Amino acid sequence: MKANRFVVVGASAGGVDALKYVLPSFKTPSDYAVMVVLHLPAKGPNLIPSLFESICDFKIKEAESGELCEAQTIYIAPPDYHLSLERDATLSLSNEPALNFSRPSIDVLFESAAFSQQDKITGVLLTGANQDGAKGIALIHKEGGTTLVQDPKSAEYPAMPQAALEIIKPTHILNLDQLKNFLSEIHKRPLP
Amino acid sequence: MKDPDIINIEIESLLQSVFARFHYDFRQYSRSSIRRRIEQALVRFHCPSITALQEKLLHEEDFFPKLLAYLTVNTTELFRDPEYFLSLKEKVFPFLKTFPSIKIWIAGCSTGEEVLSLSILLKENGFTKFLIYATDINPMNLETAKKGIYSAEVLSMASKNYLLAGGKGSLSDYYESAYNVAQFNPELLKQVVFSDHSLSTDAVFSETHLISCRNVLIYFEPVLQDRVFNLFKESLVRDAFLGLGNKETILFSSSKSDFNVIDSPNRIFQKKGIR
Repeated sequence: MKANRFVVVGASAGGVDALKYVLPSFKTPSDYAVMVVLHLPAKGPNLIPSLFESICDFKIKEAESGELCEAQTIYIAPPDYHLSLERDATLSLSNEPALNFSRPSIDVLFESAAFSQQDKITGVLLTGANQDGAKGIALIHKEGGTTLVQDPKSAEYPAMPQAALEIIKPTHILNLDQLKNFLSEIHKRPLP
Repeated sequence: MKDPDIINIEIESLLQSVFARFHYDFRQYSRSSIRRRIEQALVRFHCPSITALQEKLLHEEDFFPKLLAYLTVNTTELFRDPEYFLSLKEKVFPFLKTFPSIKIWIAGCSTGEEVLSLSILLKENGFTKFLIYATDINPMNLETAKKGIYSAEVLSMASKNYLLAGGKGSLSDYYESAYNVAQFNPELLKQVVFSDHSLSTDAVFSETHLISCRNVLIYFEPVLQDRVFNLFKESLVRDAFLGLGNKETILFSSSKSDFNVIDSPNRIFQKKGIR
């Protein structure tokens, strides 16, 4: 089933541990698809899908170019490619230069999601030691989406959520337990 | 109307103008990426809106080539993804050896790094009768490619990748460096025909035995991808090879059944023969 609504997640330093909290939160049945950008070294295989497979209710896989977003599925950006969400709910990849020293970049995913799906987007910005994702989550906010920023006090690396809080007042500032609670109920929220 | 809707109208109008006036067709390019590139062009050319950019495009002489450089992504390097080249050497070259002469098409060659890489490997592996068609939609890229001059900064990475790709000597055998640039041996480009060609509007120009088209199709919407696969199918002789970028596949397209997978992680396919 094609997804109706989308959660986009961005994480950098400390991200694997935070994702272990966040990704298993999503419960089925659901009309959501989830896209994740985690900053990883450019070379080598993407081990994230296999690392999370056994602990998630949603199916989890590496995003492929031209793929239609299915509900109840988590798509991980491949190393060394930007991931975008398109208007027809397909995913696209790109080799454009790194943004914020990052490819994949969280801003690229978040901005494409905000542009293409507007209020159907929930953005989640987690731990990290840089500024990627701040502009993107601000655009999700502007286009009427829901914005969740990890409480910098609870983040292993606070710089990334902090950078977002300097430019927007998000829908919620949450620690990982609160995020887990919010996301486990997200499919029950009314359609925008 | 919300901002993104207006921006989409402006993008469609701009791309329509580019097509009508300059015959370059970006209308079926993935929208997110083309939007980012247009936004970068707005900053670079000090335009307050896409409509302002369109005004410049239509009324300012010589502006289009400058914009074109922004509309295409030119990320490439010498021996990028060395495993791909190693796989060509090990799995494709032995087959190509059975032909008296071969033609290779590097589609979307950008600034020519992959052309040089392949030319080096062909020579090292004893190919003498070959011709490479290197095509790109941007004539400025082709001019760079023809020179064979690259920044010396890239050489250490390129040398490592050359060895990983199965290079038999040292990359430095092929260039002379001075003043922070490396001039590659012009002999390497003697059997290369550079040509302006658009995968979205132009037709097939030759039979080929190997097509390498890497990280071009990721920017195309599925309908355009299908068109390109059909072009490739038409150009490739029976049992000829197609190499794609490492996140691209023919398996989602309608041409899927016309190809066998030769090397799945390195995205190398072979056109089926008649059975």
